[in-house]
Amino acid sequence: MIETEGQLVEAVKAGDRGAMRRLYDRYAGYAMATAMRYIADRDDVHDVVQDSFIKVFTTIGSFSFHGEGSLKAWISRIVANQSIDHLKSRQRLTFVSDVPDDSVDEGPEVERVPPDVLTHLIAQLPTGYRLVLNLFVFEQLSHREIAQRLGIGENTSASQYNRAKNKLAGMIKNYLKQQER
Amino acid sequence: MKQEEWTEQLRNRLSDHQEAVPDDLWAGIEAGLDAPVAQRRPAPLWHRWAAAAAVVLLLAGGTMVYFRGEREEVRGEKLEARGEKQEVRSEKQEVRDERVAEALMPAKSSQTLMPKMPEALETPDIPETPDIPDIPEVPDTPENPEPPETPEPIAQPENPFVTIDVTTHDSRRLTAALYAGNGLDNRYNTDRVMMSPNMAEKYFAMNDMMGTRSEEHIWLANFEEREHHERPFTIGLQLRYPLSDRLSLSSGLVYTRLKSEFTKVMKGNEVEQQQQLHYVGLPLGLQYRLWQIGHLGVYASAGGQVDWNVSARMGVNGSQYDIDKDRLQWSLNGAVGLAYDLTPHVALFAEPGFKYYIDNNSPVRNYFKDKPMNFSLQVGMQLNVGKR
Repeated sequence: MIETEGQLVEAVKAGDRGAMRRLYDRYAGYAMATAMRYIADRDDVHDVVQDSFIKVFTTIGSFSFHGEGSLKAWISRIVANQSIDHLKSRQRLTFVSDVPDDSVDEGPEVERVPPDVLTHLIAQLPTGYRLVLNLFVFEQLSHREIAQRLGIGENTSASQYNRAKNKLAGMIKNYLKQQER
Repeated sequence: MKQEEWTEQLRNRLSDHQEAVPDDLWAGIEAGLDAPVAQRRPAPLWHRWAAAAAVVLLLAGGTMVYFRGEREEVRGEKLEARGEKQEVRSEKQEVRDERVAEALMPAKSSQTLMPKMPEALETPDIPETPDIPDIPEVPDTPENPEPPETPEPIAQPENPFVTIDVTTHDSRRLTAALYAGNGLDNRYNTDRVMMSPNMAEKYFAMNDMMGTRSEEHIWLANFEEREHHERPFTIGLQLRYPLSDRLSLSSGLVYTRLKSEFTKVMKGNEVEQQQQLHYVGLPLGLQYRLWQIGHLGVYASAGGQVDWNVSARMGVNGSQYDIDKDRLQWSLNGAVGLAYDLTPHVALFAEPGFKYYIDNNSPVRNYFKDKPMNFSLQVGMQLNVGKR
């Protein structure tokens, strides 16, 4: 019988090392994928995911289970936070305040691009773009929440997002064009 | 609308995406979980105890070939490896940063340097405990490897220190010891710099208008102060006078050097100051011999020391100047000592123990203030000066 997220959480909370390992086995791949959207350097991703799981296991007591899927979401949130902190500690984040572009370009055909390529392309975005895009699209934060999390203005968040989106769309289209050749 | 659709597709496409997991990841996590809760970054203290124990074992086995050298080498290598990795990676990071900056340049009209706030806000429904991220501590650097070279053995049995020829029995002689020792930990500290109340008011007022008032303290991005205290370097001469069969009194003269670096970061510009403090200390202690098994003796030691700061220098960009000297520094110490007799006149000894530096309330910032309680290891050579 497959262990549910709820059962797994209970076992880990009880301090069961075996359960920790099972939780890790189940979610490490997702955690890697999440961190790789934020951070391009493989070694850094390794460190961030490692620290994230240590945080998961040491703070799981404060996690309240809201049903299937909430554990995965919580873990990915921790990975996102660790990634952001990592980037912040390593470099000055640069954001550009600008009038939002409203591009009416057709969206790219995301379905035709393999997920690992998409992950790689996102990681190639400039840091400011990358953070905002990740938080908006994947963590589904509002611009107001992003602004608070990153210590920037709401307008900055919105404009960064627009630019990030356009840039990523361009990168995806380029990739597809190359594939067609 | 088209735009929103494609990012949604993007999210869906990646929501179940997994990437390959490195094999050694779990081992690192387990190691992290098993480490003491307080801090995972600096090597846990028991490593150092183990290293000290290794010294003791080597001594006990009578293989004193290069007992000190080996231990240091092993540790030094490890540290170096870590240090290198760190360096290489930060270089890479810099390169990437430049690229990022370049990529941003053409598009920007104005760059906002927003104040950095303490971690606020994880979204409320996902209770990840908010924490203030500290700049990760940098691991120990291999510089100033301790302990320094054992001083040349002044190994003539008839030595100028022969002042008292107590007894013909081996255990009742005045002994002199040359030793070197130091704390086993470099200290790093990072302080963030707060926005001035004036500026903060304006910032709050602006946020109030936008309805996004948040934190009370605002840490300035790009401003910080770091301090790094190197491990103290100590070298000394010790004389022991036996009071009874087991008890002896010791004193001597100790030189200690403290090096610290202070870095002020302002908008990416770093100003680095190097502080060097030189102390001359007078120790006074009691040793109590616990066991003597063949050539190996074990003793307990306790005492105090007073250190005078004889010189205090600060260097900035290559220029040096004197700064206010530290006040008298008192300390207490306790240790377990092992002595191994190589010859009737010469013994090697190792004293792992603790030192506690009593706060002298001076404004001087140094290793003693940063880490008053200190694990210390003294190793050296004792000269038993006296006739058989």
